[in-house]
Amino acid sequence: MSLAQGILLFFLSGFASLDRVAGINIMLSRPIVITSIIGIAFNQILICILIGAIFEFIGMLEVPVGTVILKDDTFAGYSSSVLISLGAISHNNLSILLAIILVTLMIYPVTLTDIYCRKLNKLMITRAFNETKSNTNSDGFLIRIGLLVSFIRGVVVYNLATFLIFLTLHNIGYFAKQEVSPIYYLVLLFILLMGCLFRFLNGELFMKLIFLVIGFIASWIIL
Amino acid sequence: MKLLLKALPTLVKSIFYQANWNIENMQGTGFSWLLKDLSKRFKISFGNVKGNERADYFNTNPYFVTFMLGIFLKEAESGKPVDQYKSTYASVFGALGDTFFWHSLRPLTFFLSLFIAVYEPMFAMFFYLIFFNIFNIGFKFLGFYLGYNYGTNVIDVFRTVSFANWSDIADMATIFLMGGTLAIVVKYVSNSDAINSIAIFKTAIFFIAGFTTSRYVSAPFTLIIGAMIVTAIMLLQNI
Repeated sequence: MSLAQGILLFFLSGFASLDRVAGINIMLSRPIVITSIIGIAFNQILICILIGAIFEFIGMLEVPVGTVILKDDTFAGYSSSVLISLGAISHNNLSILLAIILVTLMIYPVTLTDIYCRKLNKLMITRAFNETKSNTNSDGFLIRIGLLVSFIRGVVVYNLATFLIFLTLHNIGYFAKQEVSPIYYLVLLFILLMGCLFRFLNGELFMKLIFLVIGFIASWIIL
Repeated sequence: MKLLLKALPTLVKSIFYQANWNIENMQGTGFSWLLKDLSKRFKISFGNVKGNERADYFNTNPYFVTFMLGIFLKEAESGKPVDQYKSTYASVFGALGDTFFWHSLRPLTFFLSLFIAVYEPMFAMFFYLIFFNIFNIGFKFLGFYLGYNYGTNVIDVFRTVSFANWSDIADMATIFLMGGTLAIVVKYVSNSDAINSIAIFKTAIFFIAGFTTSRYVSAPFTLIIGAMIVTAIMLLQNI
């Protein structure tokens, strides 16, 4: 990994967390986007997009309503594409599937840090409210702190968790044992998750099936 | 146009207003921050926007917050008490925005990008960002404009354009694209343009398995179970 790539990962992890948690919301944090950027930077675009597409489903199957804190699919996209780009799981079916399992499990502790960020925000607003009842200018300060905390969370938590998965994969010894393309197996997982999304989307099952079949036939003929 | 230019800094700031999101007042701090900024620019008072409203609860969809700002400005200018609209409109916009942006637009953008990725992977990401953000930026600016011009009647605009149906239409378009993606996948799995019944059977099995398991298990665990099954299949094929 070159210095430029390291700097890119530093800022990307920070901004992705910020985009997800604190603001901007331009969808830089979507797994498909973040994996594409890493894929372009490390010249691994195709496999990175595919693994990004798999983790994209985790986010698509949840809606952030009210106090619901979504599972951190941004981390999953970031971590898995970094692992691919660093050569940890590029040519080994077993390691890519193991990495998917590890990354998916790691989503839970990473999401927990999101909850702690919210708690920190709550602590700060309570403190600011108690200390400055007559001061109306602390909102801007709280917003800036919130942005900074989200950025730091991305840089520290995403990279630390990725490093832990990297170490685990390395110690298990699954590096480059089988020189077979993992794409076929990722495609199977992709279909499985499409089935999940199919249930999640609105509409009558019968209508959905009709649209699915029409789409299938149209695509088969045209493409 | 003059109105939008005057409010531009506040509209740009609105992309950061969720930074203090917390379980106490949700987006309350950010909304208060935006109102103060708007108040300064338009030299208008929003009633009780002083200091203690930081503790006030506010939660809506982030892409709809500018509608609220527009309504607040309009109502404040006509001398009406604005705070009474806060929770009602925030909830309505929250529901509309969550359904359209989070539930439907994300999958639709994803599948459109996927089709582009088949031909040119590099452009897929750019397409995703551009397509989604056309709605994002559009709603930010148009929201403020409509909120200001229609005030509390802005809901009628949503009724006129049948906004509640946009989500259903987007979902059907997504399912259509999903079918198209399945056709591409079948062609990839069978490695041919001819109809391959084994490839279609494999695809159908995995698709139905996903459809069925999602009823009982959350997405991450479906993925873990799927990865384990695929690993087992791979190992069996290697024996």
